[in-house]
Amino acid sequence: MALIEILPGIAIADLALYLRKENILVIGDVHLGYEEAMGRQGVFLPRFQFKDTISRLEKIFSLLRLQLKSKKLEAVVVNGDLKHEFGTITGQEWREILKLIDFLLGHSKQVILVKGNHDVKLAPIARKRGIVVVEDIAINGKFVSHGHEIPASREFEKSKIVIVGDEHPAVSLREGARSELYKCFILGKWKGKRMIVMPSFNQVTIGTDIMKEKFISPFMRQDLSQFEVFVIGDKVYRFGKVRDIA
Amino acid sequence: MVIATASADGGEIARKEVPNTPDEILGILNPLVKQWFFSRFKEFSLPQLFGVMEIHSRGNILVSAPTGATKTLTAFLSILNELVDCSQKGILEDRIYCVYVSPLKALNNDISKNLKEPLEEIEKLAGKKLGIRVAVRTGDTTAAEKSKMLRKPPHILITTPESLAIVLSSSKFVAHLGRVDWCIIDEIHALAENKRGVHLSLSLERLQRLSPAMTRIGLSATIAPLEEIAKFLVGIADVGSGKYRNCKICDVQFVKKMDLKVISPVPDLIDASQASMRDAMYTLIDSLIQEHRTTLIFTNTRSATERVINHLKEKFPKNYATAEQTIGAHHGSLSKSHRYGIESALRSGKLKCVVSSTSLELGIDIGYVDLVILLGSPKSVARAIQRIGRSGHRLHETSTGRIVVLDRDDLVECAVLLKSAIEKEIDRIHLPTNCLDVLAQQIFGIAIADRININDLFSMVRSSYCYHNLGFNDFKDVLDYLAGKYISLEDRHIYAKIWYDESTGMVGRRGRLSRVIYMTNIGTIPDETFVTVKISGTEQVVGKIDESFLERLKKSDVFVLGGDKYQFGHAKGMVAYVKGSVDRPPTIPSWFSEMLPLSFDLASSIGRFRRLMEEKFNHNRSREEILEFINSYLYVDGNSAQSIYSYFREQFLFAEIPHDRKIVIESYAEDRRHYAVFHSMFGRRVNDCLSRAVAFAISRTQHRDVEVGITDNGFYVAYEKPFNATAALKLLKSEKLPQILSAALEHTEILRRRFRHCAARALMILREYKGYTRRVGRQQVSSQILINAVRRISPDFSILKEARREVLEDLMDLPAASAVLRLLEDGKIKMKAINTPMPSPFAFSIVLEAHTDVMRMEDRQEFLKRMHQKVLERIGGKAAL
Repeated sequence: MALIEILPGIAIADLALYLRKENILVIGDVHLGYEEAMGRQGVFLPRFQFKDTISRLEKIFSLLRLQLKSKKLEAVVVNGDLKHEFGTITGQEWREILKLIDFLLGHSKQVILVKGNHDVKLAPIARKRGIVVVEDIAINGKFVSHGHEIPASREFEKSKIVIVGDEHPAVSLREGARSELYKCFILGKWKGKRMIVMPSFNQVTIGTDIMKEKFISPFMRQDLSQFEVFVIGDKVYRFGKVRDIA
Repeated sequence: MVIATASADGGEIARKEVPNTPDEILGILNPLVKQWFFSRFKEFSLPQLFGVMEIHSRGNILVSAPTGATKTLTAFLSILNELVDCSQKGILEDRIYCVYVSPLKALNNDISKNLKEPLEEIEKLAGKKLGIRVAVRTGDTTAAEKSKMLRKPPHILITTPESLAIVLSSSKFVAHLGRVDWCIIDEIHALAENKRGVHLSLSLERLQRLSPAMTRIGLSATIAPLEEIAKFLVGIADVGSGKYRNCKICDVQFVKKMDLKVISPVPDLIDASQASMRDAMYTLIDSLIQEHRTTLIFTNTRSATERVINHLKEKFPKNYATAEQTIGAHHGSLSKSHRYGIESALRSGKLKCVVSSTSLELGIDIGYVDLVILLGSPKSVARAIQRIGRSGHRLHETSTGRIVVLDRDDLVECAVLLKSAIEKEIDRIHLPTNCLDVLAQQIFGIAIADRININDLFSMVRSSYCYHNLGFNDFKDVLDYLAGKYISLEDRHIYAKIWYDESTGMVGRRGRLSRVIYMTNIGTIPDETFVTVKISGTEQVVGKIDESFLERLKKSDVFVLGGDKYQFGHAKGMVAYVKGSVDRPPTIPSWFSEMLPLSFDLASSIGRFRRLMEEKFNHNRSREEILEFINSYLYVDGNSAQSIYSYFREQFLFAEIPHDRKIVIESYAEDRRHYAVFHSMFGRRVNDCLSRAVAFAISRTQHRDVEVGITDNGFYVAYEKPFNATAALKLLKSEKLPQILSAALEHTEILRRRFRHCAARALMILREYKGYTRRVGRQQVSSQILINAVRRISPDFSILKEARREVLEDLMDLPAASAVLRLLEDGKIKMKAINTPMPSPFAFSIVLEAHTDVMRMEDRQEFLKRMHQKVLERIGGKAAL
């Protein structure tokens, strides 16, 4: 798999975005603790997500290492919804989030946690590693925000590019009676800015079908037909615009 | 008059050929009961002559008789007699003497009423209270009523299979179940063929363990084979020898007279347009309704029920759209109060007509009905007789049934069905066995009630007919699942549902929530996963579609629902928003997940008729001769015979008549797609197997998805390139079929869907947990995730294994499909390949009405690559990387 540059200096690296100049990796919507949350609702799902998350990240790191001069990343930005449960911190979340932060710190000088709508109680876990959870972050005109609400900051207004997650975009491809859903990035515009919507890094679910669902996120409540679609499979597949797929 | 026919197949299950005499019964009746009986009835009915003495002498018995044949009183007469006698002698104990189980709450309420009335009448005759208590316990019973029952147990407990399982796990209530004399299973035919029955069979063993001397009484409508139903009822006496408990079979199925006819609304079914056909059908239905006092109409689907009522009201407002309600619907999706209202309006004779899907098949009291109309084929002889038996409720009345057919396949099918019904050839039902999900649920319930050694548990389970050949390994796998052994030690406490000590071999309850989980999640009936279809902007509901159908829909797809076309807009959770009044033709075929399948036996009879017809044409018999044959063979009228004749003649001249000993494989191409239509008249359950196996054989060489379409009469396989369909069928070997199908099914929607049902039964997905009710849609999403996770644990994980078994054995019919392949291998069924320029007359419905699916042979990654190529071609490669 190769890095695919979709905007100057911004490349898709599997389910992550790599900011080349800044040497920063962005991932989002990991939703650790998903299995325990399901268990609390009466669905007894065996636990594989953490293991799969680590091996997926390892794959991305080895992919990046081919490109990197220095061995460590400057930063990994986790763009919201690192944890899944809104109201509480489950045992699985304590364990796995700390383990994941430690793992990321092994490959990156710092870990930046951007707050997502599920991250109401992320701060107490982050504090254990001396990390402050931020609302959003601007990186050289690229504004990284979870995307469940419109940020009210100067930096945001000034920025030309906005990178969001939250809605877990995925695309269904159909032929005859067969239909399959794939995680995808979509690239379009929001009020004059370029906007990239990232797929979820969650290893259990695929996502929400952009071909038929209506979205709630203020960034996604618009006509998506002109958005470009990048499907993540064994490599990145450029599918043209949403309307070309329908 | 002796109705019982076949002789006993030996040993412990035996037919009772000769009824007892009235004097014998009179000899055992308490004078008070005798006096009451003859104040109400002139004489004993035949079922009573057969059954009452057996029940009195505590012999297990299966009574098969039509509705209204006094089955229930047959079962209860001895029991009431005993209770009244005890009461008079002052030896009536405070315990449950009889447990009565029926599949319907409504039926339970009827029974309770029908027992309380005689008891009051007997008390009046006695001039004093007898103190005999009857109580109903279902999901609707209040906590106060339950605690009252606990303090003072009823002598007769009326319940459902689910509530029975709950009381069996209630440590306090179990004390009252220690000396049950009788257990009655009513409507056993409606239970034996599904997992509710499997579940019940284990509850019966649990009850028998508490009350070893308990007698079992089964009451059944028309069904076959009775020997198997009897075995299901009584279970196994000794697991070592496999010997069944004794049981007498009283077969009085045909005690009621029947007047049956197949009618076609128009003289010629082929020339009539859709609209004139519909017109003629409703005119016919209306005149039938008006000629009778009360008519009960059965349709095969719930949506058709509503459609019929709407059309009748529109076309005949004077008769049906009146101020006073004269017509009503009764089906499972309607509220309890609506159904209850319809039932009581029927009983009081206020309704002229009721339209139902399946909900009125069972013996709920619906008063006087003098005509039953079946719209379209009921797909099985037994079901036809059960439905028609709802008319002429009393024993000596004639049941009148009219089957209205809508096309020529329907006509042939219903005509053959009618012949079988008249000649008393009842198709055999399939009883599910070794269901690991139900086993898991019951073991969980058993562990809540008591600690038990696994060897005792295993033999108790194997006493059930449904588990008599369960392997120890499968049993052990279920225990391991329940004990959470599939999860690493650190998380096991979350997943373990029972406590299991391997060193002592004891299992028991684990966790304080177990009891609540059991009580709120018990049962085997899966929640349905339907997506509501609404008109965008108006929120007006137009119907429901299957969730997996929604998965296939894309923006602006046009599909048909309830006879109208809609254009799909977008989805929001479990709602699909659409636009009405569409001009374009449908872009995606409709997909009905689970329709009533044609029974194998009836399909074979149709195949036989086809063969006889082919012989006539081959021997150049004249039109008159053939018409006469049809008339005499099928009991149909002149119009119908004429339609059948021309249908077969067209097929004979255009192509070839397929039949039970010849599968015709018809190939043609259309729109650059190649089709092979297999005329295999074996019913959908067999064709589901054969089609997937053939498609698998084809796709394995092509490495690409192959489309299949499945109907009762045959199936088709479609592919973009020419392929050799006959060779594919020849390649299939009967002994390899189970492996081929398991592989072919692995990535189908149907396996995923059935896995969700199984996971819910096995309590891997809880419907209710800590006061949280899961939406079915969420369950479906979860089950997809769950099936992937479970596969990673083991491809043979017990619940996944069960889902495969359920699909292959219950939904489909693997044994019969294997048998068909063996006949092909032995040359007893021949294959004939033909090429046609377009589908032959018999092939039309197979192509048009098939339920389509894809054999997913192409890997997900490959599929993505190819879809990518297609997009690149479409957009001229400008996005190529």
